[in-house]
Amino acid sequence: MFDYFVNYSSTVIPSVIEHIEISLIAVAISFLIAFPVSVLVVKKERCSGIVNSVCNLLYSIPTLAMYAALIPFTGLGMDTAIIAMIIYNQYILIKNISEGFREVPAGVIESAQAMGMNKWQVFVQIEIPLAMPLIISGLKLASLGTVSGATLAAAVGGGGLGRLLISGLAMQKWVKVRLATLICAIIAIVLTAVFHIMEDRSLKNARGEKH
Amino acid sequence: MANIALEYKNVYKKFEGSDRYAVSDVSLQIEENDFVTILGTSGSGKTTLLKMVNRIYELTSGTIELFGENIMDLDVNEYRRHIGYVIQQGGLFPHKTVEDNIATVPKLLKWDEKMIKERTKELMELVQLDYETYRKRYPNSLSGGEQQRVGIARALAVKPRLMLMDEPFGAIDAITRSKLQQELLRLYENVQNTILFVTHDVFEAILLGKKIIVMDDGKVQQYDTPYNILLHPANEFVSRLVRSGDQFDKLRALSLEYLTEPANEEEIHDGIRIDGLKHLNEALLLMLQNDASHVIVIGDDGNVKGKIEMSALKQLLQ
Amino acid sequence: METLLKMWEYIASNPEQYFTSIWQHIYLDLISFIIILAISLPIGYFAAKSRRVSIPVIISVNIIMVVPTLSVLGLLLPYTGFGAQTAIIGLVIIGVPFMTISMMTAIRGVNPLTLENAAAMGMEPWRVCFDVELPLAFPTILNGIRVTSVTLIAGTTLATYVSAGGLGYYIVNGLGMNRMEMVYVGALTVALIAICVDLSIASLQKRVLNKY
Repeated sequence: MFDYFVNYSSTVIPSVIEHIEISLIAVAISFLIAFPVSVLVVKKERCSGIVNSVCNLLYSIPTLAMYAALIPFTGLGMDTAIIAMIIYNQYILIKNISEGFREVPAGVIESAQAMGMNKWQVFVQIEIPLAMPLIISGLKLASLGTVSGATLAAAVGGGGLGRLLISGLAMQKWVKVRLATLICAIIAIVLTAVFHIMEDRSLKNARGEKH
Repeated sequence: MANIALEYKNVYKKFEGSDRYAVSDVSLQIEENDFVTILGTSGSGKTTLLKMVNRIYELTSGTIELFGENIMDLDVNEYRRHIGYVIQQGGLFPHKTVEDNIATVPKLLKWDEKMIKERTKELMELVQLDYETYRKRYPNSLSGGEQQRVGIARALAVKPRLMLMDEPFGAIDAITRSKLQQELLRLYENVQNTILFVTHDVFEAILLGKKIIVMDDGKVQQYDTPYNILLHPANEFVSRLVRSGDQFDKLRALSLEYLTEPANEEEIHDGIRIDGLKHLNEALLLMLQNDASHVIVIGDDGNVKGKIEMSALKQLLQ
Repeated sequence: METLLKMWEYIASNPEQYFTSIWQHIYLDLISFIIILAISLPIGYFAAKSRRVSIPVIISVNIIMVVPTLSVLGLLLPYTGFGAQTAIIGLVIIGVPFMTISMMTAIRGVNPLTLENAAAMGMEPWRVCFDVELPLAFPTILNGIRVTSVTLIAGTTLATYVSAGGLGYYIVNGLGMNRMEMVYVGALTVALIAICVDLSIASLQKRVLNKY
């Protein structure tokens, strides 16, 4: 496997970079969308029902089917994969982020308001730090799911490690399959470790324990 | 004539989704520098009455005036910064240290660092928490009593003219609660601001309050000094309320000044002395132990303040 | 509009294959699902009760969840060859981690005091488990089942890569042949199945929740 990597690094490395690229962009945009939606869901309880149902529905659609649905609008290529990942990530991100905000004790928020903090100050100084552990946990799950799901991007011409995977399957060259899997695993492990540390710190911060 | 710190004018509050009024037609005046307790059972509207002052709950109709100004005319965040607020479970920010918690409002008002630090030291001393030991601690490592002290220090940070306290000692064990009550009284004597204190405990209401607002079913049942309420309950409800629980408890809550009356030479000469800082239960005890019909009250300057008659005590205990 | 027409024509031209695919898809899912339940429920249960079991379980789960679905199938191929067996083994490997964790969470979520009470009232251990513990854990277990089923249906679309059939056939081959109506037929069908399954379990969840 290592020889293969060395010999074919010129094809493998771009795939790896594409894969990371897709994942990063997808997660970043997912978060940018999910965060305000989660805040909306928490502040206006009436919206939560609709948002939940929609996310649930979208999440249950199999990846390939989602790609297929998007193709007429976004064509073949990386964009389709990224958009699909963004749609999937909403489910897990909104669930976790809104849960994080819901768990902030009401008494603490009330005290903050009573002390004369305006809505924005309460949000930034109190709600966000206390919701952070769950926000990060959501990001962690979304990232892992994206890295995993991005392997299928190749099916719609989106590049990434899926290319290695699928061609390995087709040509029955198992070394490709194993290499692609290994790299995916490494990326996932690194991500998990990074997020775990962040989660831990934010938890200690929110609970007021010494770092 | 003392200033009016807070005035309720025909205040009503109805919550969304409910048919009954949580607070109905309350009109009363709270004088500046008075410690007023709001006494009632759950659902009596006592907490609602309190929380309308800083607009945590908005009133449905009527007016509330803070030092003469209609609260609806004021910028809500601005005036909240000048009202101290202490709730039952502390409401301390778990992710901030003790000193950061206390510094919250000063920071909002943009005080400079040095001033904040000095004030924090001062406040912690006031609530008897050693500055160096506690300042960097986090709320979750403090006991309930310690947390409430921090809560009180935090509320006093910018020397507010009004303090709102919602059953702050409700979740604390009896021994610590007793200590905190004493300390609060001491603090009150020191700081002399206006305090509105909600409680369901009759003893606490009598002990702490210079005046008591008795609430039931959203309406004010009686608003008077503890002594008057005990002696002349306005209605059946108040009467039952103050008769509930230990009668001797009430004596424990009342200081001697309630029953102190002028004494003549002879009475002073023969009478048993009692320290002016004690409460009526001690007076009763002393009289029973010595088979006396009165005791002489001595102030902390050593002078005679007056006498307390057994007959007055009997009247109170009826 | 004309795509819809093309789609209809496509199915009409070979209805047997279409229905066979659907059947294959459901068949693969069902079998894997039953096997998954048989494995994860007991393991999850014991992991919830004992630290010695839960630690290796959590470690294994974390390792497996790092591997994408397609990779799992790909890694199995050299050993189990093409065909339904590989698909089923692959799906089981995909589904077990999540279902096990769900089961663990569900059991751990039952208030231990309630169980203590039940035992104190004289219920035998097995009765406590079946009459009290499992019913109380059921809502969470049901949620785990819901997410796992949806994941399975999605994973089965990849079964074509190991020649096991299923609706993925239409999607992947349609893309390859650039016949979009094929792709849509596959995609729409599988999406509909997934949504139906999800919604039915959701309504089951509501009814169960109302009972409590």
